[in-house]
Amino acid sequence: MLLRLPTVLTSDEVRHARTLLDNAPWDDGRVTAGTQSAQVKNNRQLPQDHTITRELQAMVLEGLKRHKLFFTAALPQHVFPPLFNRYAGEANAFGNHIDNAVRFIHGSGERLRTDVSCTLFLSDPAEYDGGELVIEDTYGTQAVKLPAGDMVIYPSSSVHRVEPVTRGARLASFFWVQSMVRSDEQRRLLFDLDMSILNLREAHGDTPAVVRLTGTYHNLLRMWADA
Amino acid sequence: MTRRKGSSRKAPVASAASSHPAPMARTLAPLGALAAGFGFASLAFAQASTPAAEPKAAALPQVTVKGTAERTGKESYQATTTTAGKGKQELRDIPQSLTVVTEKLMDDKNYDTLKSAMHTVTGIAFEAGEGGAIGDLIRIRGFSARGDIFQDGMRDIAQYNRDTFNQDRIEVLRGSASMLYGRGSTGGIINQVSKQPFLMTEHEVALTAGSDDYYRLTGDFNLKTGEDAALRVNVMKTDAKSFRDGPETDRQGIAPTYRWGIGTADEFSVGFYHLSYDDVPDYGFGWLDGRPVEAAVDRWYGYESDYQKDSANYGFFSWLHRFDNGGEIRTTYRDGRYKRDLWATTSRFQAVAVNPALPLACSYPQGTATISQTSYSDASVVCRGNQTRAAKDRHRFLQTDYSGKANWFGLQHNLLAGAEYAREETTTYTYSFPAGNPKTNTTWGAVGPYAGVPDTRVKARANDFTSDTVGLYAQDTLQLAPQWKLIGGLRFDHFSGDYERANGGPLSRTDNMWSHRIGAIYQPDLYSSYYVSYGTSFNASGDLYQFDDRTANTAPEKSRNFEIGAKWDLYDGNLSLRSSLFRTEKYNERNTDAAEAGPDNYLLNGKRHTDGIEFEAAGRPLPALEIFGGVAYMRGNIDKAGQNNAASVGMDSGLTPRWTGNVWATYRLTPKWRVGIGADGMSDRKPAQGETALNVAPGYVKADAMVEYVTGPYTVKLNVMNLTDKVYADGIYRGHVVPGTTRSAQLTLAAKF
Repeated sequence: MLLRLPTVLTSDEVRHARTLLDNAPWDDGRVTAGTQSAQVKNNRQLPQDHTITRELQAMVLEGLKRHKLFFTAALPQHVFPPLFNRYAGEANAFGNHIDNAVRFIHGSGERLRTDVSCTLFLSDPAEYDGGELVIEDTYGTQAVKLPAGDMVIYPSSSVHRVEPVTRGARLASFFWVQSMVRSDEQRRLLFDLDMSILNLREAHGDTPAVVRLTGTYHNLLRMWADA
Repeated sequence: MTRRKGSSRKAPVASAASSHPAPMARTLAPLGALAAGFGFASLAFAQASTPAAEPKAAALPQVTVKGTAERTGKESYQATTTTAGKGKQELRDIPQSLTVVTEKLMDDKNYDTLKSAMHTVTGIAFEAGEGGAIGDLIRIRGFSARGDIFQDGMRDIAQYNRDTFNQDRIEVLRGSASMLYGRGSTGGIINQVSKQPFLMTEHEVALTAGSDDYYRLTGDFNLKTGEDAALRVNVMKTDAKSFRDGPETDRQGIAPTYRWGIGTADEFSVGFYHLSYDDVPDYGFGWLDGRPVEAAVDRWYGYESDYQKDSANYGFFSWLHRFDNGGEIRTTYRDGRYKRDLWATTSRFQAVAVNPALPLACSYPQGTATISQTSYSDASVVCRGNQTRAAKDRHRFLQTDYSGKANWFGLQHNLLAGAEYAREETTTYTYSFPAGNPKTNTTWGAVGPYAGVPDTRVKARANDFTSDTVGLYAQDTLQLAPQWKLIGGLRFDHFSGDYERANGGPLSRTDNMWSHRIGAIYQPDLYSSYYVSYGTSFNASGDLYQFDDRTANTAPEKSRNFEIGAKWDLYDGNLSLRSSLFRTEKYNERNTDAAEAGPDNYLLNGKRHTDGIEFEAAGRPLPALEIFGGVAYMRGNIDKAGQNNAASVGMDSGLTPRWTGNVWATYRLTPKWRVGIGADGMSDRKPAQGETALNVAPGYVKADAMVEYVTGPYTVKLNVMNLTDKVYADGIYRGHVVPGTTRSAQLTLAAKF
């Protein structure tokens, strides 16, 4: 399921992030790539233990905490500390790849299974040409380029790439989520059910049928979730 | 008419982001968010070993879950975005008081006119017709909003009685707003927002029948005609008598709009609006002993031949271009033709002539009444006067408004800019009675109906007025620090008016005026917003087609507004609250002051202000409970006046009730049954420019109720208005009082298909 999450960061927060990123020491992006990805990866990335990275990680996590659609769509169990990248100039693209299935969290040795991939845009589309995130979803190929502060989530199992940036700079945060519900199909069913219940509650209030559907949602979650 | 809350309307997502249907605007929290979110502290994000990014074990903050789809006025009492500030903005980013009356609220309360809908807005009072004006005469914070009514952000200042059949919502932005809208707007502006075609085929028809032979049929037809195109047609026919035996309304309207390119980079809209009516108007009854005559509520002394025939016809073409970075530019051209024609009867008790040379006085203010509230009888003489007006207007507007973002010098700017060209042409007519006035006096006991009398009047062209306005404005909302926004805006208007008069030579006047607005907004989190703002406005002489030899030599009046306020979103954003403290000040009011002014100009030596505090709430604190309400306390005061009006200094301004308030709540008992109850009212107030007279309209509170049954696509709804049958003065003028509706009931049947 590919879903756009509007306003994960407010315009204030995006502005603050941009101020910090303008003075950040960018590294070669291949540092975090697996050996196959490294062949196609050509971008810049923030060192994972830099103070700027930590401040921005906290900010993104705060934004996620507020975002109900993120929770309901991703049903997160663990969130990888967000990373930050920059596509510009010579380091401007990332070819087709699939994200590593399991990641070790830098400095802690904990493992995380990547179920959901997240890209949070930090540059507005007008600031750069190219740079589309192209995802081969179950529903075909999608090109995604969102306003700063918006985020896209998609199954980590999809092949994806970032098109070359031919003008300006594309700044983004990217990370992965290990979901309580491992299967993408099940997560998608739960999301659809949740949205439909919400719709019914708004239209009709908490009717007995809505209460039963709510129970069904929770029972499915109980059946499928590893909390 | 009533509507079941429809399914949310979807507009396509502008970006290619999602193959999944975009989540729509939500007011309730999704279940998954609760399941995952409320256990958040224990779930914890996987962390880097460094403590810097340690998650805080705080409670999950409350937010509104916002989707990408448009939210229409049909869905809720609560609005989150507005176009009242030009461009599309969140309510929390507007540093002024703003009330949004949504279509759902209008439907639930059976508000069929603009004026009735304004009863649910604080700080508002109504003037009765006369003194050259007819149509919607609304005062905001004690200042006339006659020239401050807008339709989709463009001036809609022809004088007529507006209907709500094609309105998605009505926004009332209070305080000076010339920086955004040009001339006028001392107390604020009223912006009506039209219903827009949307990408679903969905129709609704509603029929209402009620007491006093009230019948209203409305149809709202929306047809998806293509991938990104739709046609919407709203129609209305209303035929009703009044609780007063005599006045009537018979009106009809149609508003087709075709919109294409919906949600794409270039969106177009073309449409037409027609409203016409043939009413028997109600000019109330005169004051007596400084009070309205209560028993006059169901007595009317007009003639069946009285009429008010008005019409509004306009066509428009609009182009909206969306830039990749979220900016928008909208350009609209509108060409409207408006007609008004009135022959009404005023009635009041006979008064004693002050000047023996004049005939027995039947018109204000030549004398005092011969009888009192306790002594009048069936034999008391009721004088009848004539109100006649006629005019034709043609208003053409070309307006373009840009809203967008920019990053300059490392700071984020939210920009608003635009230009306006307006040509307004008006021809007014006078009526005279060469063969004598066929309307004669009668007695209090001789209650009508009165058969029509022959119209012997002779119509003559009086004045032609043409005005041209060129306006340019720009505003920047600067993100100064993460939680602080600074607003600064400037507008330049060139206003020139030419008057051709049947009596007297031509007149003209040109004014070049600057208006500004500055403000600061502090938003410590996503749920609260605090602001302070200052704005100015001006009223050019002749801006409402009222030139005479002296106004043509008089500079514009000036006003300013100071306001501090707060806006909060509670209950996951389901409930919006706001409060503000304001001072609105007109500091050089025109005075017709023979003692001080020269014969060829007016003095700008008047000054008045209104101080006040307002609270308002809108939203859904519980899934089944929806509320809308507000209360305002205002103190209007006349600070300075010319010698002729010196006695008014220090007095409360007219039509500025100290208290205005309203509350309305609906509760869904079962999926099919919904009930609603509420009340509105205001404290006592004097007529405008009648501050030194004794006349006071007493305060009132009236209550309304509703019960609704929904089954499948059908809705049956019963509204009872004015439950306690309170007699109250609704519109007031120096000479007379128009009573408000007595207890009445209306039954609505609606179907959606």
